Amino acid sequence: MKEEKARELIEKHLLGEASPEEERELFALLEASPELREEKEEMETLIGALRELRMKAPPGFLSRVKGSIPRKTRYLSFVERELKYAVLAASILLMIAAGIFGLLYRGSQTNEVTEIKQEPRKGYIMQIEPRENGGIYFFTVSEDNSM
Amino acid sequence: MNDREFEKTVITYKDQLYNYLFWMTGNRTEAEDVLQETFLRYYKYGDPVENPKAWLFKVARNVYLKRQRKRSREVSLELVEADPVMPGMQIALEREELIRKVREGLRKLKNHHREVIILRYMEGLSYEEIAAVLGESVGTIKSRLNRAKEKLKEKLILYMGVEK
Repeated sequence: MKEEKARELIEKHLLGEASPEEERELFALLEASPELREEKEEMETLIGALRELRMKAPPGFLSRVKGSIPRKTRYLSFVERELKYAVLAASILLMIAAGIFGLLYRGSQTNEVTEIKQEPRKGYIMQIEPRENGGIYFFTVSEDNSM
Repeated sequence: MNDREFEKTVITYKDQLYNYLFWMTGNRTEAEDVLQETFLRYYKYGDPVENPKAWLFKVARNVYLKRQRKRSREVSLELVEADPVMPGMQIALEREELIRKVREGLRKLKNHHREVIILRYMEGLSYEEIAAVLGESVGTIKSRLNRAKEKLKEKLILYMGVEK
């Protein structure tokens, strides 16, 4: 466990991730252990060599990647980026406005029946029950028992 | 994300991603193609991402794995060996032998071992970032890296012995 911790500290130190406290802890461990010092040297050599093997992107890559973006994508991306929130806000406002308009319209309706487009069939009667606070009517169709 | 932000992201991460892709594909042209497709996907994605570095590495990995599956072949690193001089390398003469050994050792590692070595020691990704890129737990990444390091050291043991 202690060795594992020491290895972790060595790695952090070599990758520049160790805090000052961890650095102190590591140097105390290194002072006490020649094996750890050896391991640190090995890791230092290994990481140094690996980093020398790093490759860089070919020159002109940025221009090539920019040139490879289709114009349509560029335009769509602009629209998506700049306008999508505006479109979303407008849609929400539109829905709210439609809701308010609907409520106002419903409240303005009278209870008068202006037109009945279809008479009930023979042998049936139709009763109309207007609601007090709205413009909706209930039509009840039942058999005409008086016949 | 506007064009300027996109450019900044490309400049910041292109070399790290290219290096990773080069060592995983073993081919410069393939690495560049995958890199280009990765950045195109980033551009099309549009929205800002929390950790662009991890996001880009993950997408780059997915793209190269998909292309690799399409070709249904193992990654061949012969081209790495065939390159006598690689641009971007500033090798001091006295370290040439060590570098050669490390390159051979790295080339001979299995893909999943080479991958964690590159991400951690060459590119300095944190364990959490590597876990996010590979879709594994941090514990798995730590043990895989230890195993990969041991394997690489085994391949370099002769040189290390001389170095000591």
